Amino acid sequence: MFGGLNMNSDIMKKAIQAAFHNLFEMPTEELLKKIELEGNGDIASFLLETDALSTMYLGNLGISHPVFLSDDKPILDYTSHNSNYNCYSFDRVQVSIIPTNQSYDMNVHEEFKWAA
Amino acid sequence: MAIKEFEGAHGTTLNKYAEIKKTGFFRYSGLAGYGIYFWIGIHCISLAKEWCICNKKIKMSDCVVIIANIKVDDVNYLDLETLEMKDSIYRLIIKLKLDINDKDKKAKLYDSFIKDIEKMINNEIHVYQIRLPAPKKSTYPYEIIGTPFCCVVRNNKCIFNIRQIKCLEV
Repeated sequence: MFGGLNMNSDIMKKAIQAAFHNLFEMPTEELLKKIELEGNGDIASFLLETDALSTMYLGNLGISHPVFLSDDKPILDYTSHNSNYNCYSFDRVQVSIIPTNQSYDMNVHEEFKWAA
Repeated sequence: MAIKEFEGAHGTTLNKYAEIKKTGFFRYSGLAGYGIYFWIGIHCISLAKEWCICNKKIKMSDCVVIIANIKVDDVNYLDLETLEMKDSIYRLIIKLKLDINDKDKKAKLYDSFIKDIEKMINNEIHVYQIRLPAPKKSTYPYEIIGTPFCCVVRNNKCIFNIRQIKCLEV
């Protein structure tokens, strides 16, 4: 079956209506904050889902301890013992190379390409 | 529960294809939020090839089109191409005074909206369908049939039967 218009189930149609109703009722400032928080918010979950940044995977590449950065401030230090994914946005990842301890930054999009 | 099936095409490199075969696709941020983007429809392979040419500064000999089958339960599928959806998304962009050229903000809007839908239906959206602009200099006949359809896959388990064609052979 190829794409076509109005392929949503009845349950989905009702959910869409309700979701838009709520969004239009929400004050603009609140809505902007919500989008900022929730947009890209599933990065952490799909990093976990795909195990793309697991210690084992990074270890194979000779990389350890990526630190997720936002506005140049570390907001998440990913280690095997302390995986805290309570952050919702970051735009750069800092990684360290094990043998030299040199670190460098890469933006998330490069990181995704590298991890893909 | 009905199953929806699509055949989709995704432009990438031969090296990435080898990695994808080994570890699966990795989601990235696109024009309509996070996911794995597949062109669908009878022009899907040429669109994927054109995307590859347009977006990658790589040798043509390294480019491949990945073809895959996408299967999703009706309950995990969202069509973003309804008139109601288009009008509402546009009204939201106007309400928020978002720059229509700000791709990042628009992608976040989609991510946030899909999260809302997931809460409403108490289920995950694994695949959604949306029309997106064809790659620059595409031969896609959008003057006749409008912009092409894309399937955005958010769950690797919906992707089956992955194979590739070298772009030079397309």
